[in-house]
Amino acid sequence: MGNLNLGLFISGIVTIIAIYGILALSLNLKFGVAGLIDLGVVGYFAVGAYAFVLTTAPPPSELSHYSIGLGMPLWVGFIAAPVAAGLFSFLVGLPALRLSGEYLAIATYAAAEVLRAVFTNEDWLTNGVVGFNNLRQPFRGAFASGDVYQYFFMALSLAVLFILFLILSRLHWGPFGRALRAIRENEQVALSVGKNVTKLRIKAFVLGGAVSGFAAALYVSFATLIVPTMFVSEVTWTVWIALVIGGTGNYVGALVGTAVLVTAQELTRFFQASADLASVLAASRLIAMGLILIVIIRFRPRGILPERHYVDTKAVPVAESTAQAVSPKRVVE
Amino acid sequence: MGEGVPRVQYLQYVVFGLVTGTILLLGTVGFSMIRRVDNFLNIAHGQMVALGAYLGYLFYAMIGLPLVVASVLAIASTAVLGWASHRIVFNPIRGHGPLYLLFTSVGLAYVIHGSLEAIFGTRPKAFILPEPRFFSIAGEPLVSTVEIFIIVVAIVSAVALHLFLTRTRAGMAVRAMSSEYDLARVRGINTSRVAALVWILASGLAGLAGILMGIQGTVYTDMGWAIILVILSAAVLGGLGSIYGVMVGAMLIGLSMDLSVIWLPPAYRSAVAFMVIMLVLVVRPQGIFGGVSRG
Repeated sequence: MGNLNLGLFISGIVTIIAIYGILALSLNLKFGVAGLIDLGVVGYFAVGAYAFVLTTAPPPSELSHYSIGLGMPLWVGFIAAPVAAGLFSFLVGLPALRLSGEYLAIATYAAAEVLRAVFTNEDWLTNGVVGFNNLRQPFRGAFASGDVYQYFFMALSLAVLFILFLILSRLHWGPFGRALRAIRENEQVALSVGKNVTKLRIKAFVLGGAVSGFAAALYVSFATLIVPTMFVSEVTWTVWIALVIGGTGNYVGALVGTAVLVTAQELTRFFQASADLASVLAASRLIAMGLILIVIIRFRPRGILPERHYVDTKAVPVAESTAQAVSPKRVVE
Repeated sequence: MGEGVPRVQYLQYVVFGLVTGTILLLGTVGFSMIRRVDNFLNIAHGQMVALGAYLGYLFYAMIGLPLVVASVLAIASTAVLGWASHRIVFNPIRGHGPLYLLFTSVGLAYVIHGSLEAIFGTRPKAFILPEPRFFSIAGEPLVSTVEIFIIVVAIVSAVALHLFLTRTRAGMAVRAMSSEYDLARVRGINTSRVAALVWILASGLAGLAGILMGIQGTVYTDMGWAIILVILSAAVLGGLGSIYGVMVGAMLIGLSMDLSVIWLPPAYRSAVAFMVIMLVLVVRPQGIFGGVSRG
């Protein structure tokens, strides 16, 4: 491979890290901070992606099966994606957040799967398995060369990631994040000091969903195509694995985990040789992802960068025993 | 869709539903037993079903052993691998809590899925069986010998499991441990031995479910993920962790999936199962038979 290819290859990896990083931030808000076990990550992501495409795609021609294509400017799509993802989160969260622990996990998993069935089968909405191709990319016209544009797109994705990171970190250390962490640690105590637990949870859930909408808009712009098979549960698991590797409850950790996981996965694409070997390599990528997760949980269950505690936990040893059964074990150090 | 369909065809959907339900039952019972004894959702259980199907394919279609011998070998190997996963992967992190066990099981599911893909390739496989005979009503084929075989095998296994759980000391120990872990331990039940037995049984049943799925349709690498979602639905419907509730849950899910084809496009067949879970979770989260004991 030539030098230029290597640069493009790396910028591609960084772009994917940025996009998955946004998803990891969103999940960290929902699980790491608010303690909500959401296995439907791919669902809000898919809704955001289709919202982006349907608002910006040209009106359908006679040859296509879809019936909605608003042909609006791309910036409208970039607003529509988080709004739609947030709305869908609200629809799922309103009934599902009444459930706790693994029941919430199952309900959100099921919601994402039902949604995938809808997107796969309703041709009028999604143009079926053909999907949409040759999607427009933001500011593409300003660049003559596709290579240079790819570097620009990487910078754009990183900028979006950075802004969302700043907003979420700020919320984390403010009253909103504090209240969420309080609920996660002890719901009864949070209730007793007058926190509206249900409302705060829904807020975190919807905000998390909206954040993943930004990732969705970037993702389909980067891929320049959308098909229902892009939204399988593997996306959800990848984000979860990234978060667990990096350390739940810590936004920097979430990004570190994403970088480690995506780099490990993408590097294996480097070795693609013959067609026979390619399928074995694809399979070994799955095995590697599984092994990383098993090994990290076994030997470093709190992730590479664990959550920082600013309260002296030694002073309140009771906190350990009151932690909910399903919430991650917090070792007092 | 309903208009032009002959009456007998409705009965045929019922037969399909019974086949799906009985296979699902074998997969779900084991999932539920593990949920009770080790208290976590074992996502890798779906891969045990896939493993059974592939091992059955290996012994029967690739090596050429008789179907019964191949099935016994495949079930035994799946059971041993399930037990090994319990010993090597899950037992060391028991103390980490259910969520970390769940994620470890996702990791294991990827390891098994990837291994199956690396060894057998991504192309779907089929058991090549002698042409089945059909029993017809009013000229319409209603049920094939293969379908009767699957239903009978599954029912015999479920009854055998029931007799084991209620009539033998080991079976009673399993039930005692799954309803009151600490009490069972205090009363002198060797909990780690019983847990090992549960994993062997659960994985063996999953292997059997996989072989039956292979006999009925095709064997494909994503089947472990597809089946675990339906297993989750059946388990939630029956009440997570209740052994008998999930048997009924599995039959109901199987029937509703195959009967939904009468009204909905067939592509929504498995989505029906997930819609059932969402409804159940919202209306009655403890499942239709849950509520008395924990879970």
